[in-house]
Amino acid sequence: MTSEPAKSAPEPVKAATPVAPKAAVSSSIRLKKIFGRLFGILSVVSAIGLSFLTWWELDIRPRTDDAYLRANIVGIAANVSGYITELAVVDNQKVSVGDLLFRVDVRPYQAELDVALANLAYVDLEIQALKDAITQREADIVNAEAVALYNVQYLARIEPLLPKQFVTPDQVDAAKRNVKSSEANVLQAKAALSQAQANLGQVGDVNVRRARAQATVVEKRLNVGYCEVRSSVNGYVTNFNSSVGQFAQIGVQVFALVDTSSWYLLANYQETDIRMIEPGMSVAVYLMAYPRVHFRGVVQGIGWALYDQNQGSNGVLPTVSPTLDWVRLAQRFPVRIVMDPSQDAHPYRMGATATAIVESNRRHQVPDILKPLLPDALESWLDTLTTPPAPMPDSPGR
Amino acid sequence: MSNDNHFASTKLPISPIALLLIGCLSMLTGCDPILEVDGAFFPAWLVCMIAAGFMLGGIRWIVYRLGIEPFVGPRVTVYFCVYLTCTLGLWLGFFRL
Repeated sequence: MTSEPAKSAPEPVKAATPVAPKAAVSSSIRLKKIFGRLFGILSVVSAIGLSFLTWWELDIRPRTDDAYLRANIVGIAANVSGYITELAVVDNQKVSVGDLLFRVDVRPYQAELDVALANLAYVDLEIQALKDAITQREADIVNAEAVALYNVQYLARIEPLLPKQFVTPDQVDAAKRNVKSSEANVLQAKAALSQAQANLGQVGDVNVRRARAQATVVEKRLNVGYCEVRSSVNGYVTNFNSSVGQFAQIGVQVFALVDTSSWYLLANYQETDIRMIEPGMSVAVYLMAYPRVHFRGVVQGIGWALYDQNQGSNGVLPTVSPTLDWVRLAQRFPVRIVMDPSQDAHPYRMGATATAIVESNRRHQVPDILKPLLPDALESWLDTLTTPPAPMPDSPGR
Repeated sequence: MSNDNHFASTKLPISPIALLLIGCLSMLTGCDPILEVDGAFFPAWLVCMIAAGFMLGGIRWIVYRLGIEPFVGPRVTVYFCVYLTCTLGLWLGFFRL
């Protein structure tokens, strides 16, 4: 290569200026030589310089094309089973908190509520009857105590008459028996009162019978309410494939809502880039769906765990993949980036492909190996490419 | 002339200025890091590499016309460096974002 200029240089000059004076020719060649050398040297220097700048740029502002827009998904399921009698939304419809989504056949649950209400009224009557029973038991005690008192007094009257034989021993024995019997009757009446009180089910200020019936009414009323399924978030209906007459099972999702109150980006960054990323850093986001529109986000946190595909266990023994590639691929960790709110002109859609560029405000350190090569002025100029570190806001991701 | 005859009497099929314009216009699609071409997305660096190829062609043509090509030194190294400069320059210029 280097011998070529000497060979080929004179030829074009000869051809272009066959009759030019020798001095002019040598001057022209000298000029071309200077420009040629300058061009060669400059191209090498600029290539090295731009390579360094590119490496620098990629290092301080880590980027990834492996990023996807995400939102929280709320699965909509009925809390009661039954046929769907009304659908108030269509697929992709925007809904707000509290909007009716669909109705489940309310009639069985309304009937159960009616039964519970009737039961509550019946319990009230029962309680009144039990209270009357208690009053009756209290009267029985008074009666039994009066009889017992009389029997005691009667025994006290006739017992002194026995030595004078005004009464027979049998009469005294009968009076004693009556005393014992009436005392037993008092105890029996008191037990009956206690039993009636327990039967009433009053504990402090609460009547257990009524509380139970009331709880049943509340449960049945809730079930009637559950027949109207309403939105719990602001968002969009998605994957809606139902129609009137479908049987909705408890807890089985009928469709889903995309919660549009918070959008975030899951950007999978190589582990080598993670060291430059911190929660709170600003992120430039580009969505494939909207070319030429720039979005912004903030790093919320970096994933702490990944599933290790090379390690596992089979029974009680570990399994280790026997292959180890020469070229190791960097793992990627999901970085959660909270997006700015969606704009009407450019609505977000979950799953949209994105590119994320973290505006890392970490001051970049010039590698030690390059320090002797770089003049101080260049080092400080390179420093200005990054903004000075700012205090990080507290983030739940940290 | 024998080695470089392919440039001597002919012009480039498209003028280098037109090539540069095409290259630049392809860059100016908003400077997104990913460029869409009919539904397929191409990374910016790939587009830069392709555009730099055209630019290299134009630059070599200019260098030849100026008659300084014999003096630039080892041509493979120099033109590789020119190509690298064009690629990285385009990327840094349009896609540094």
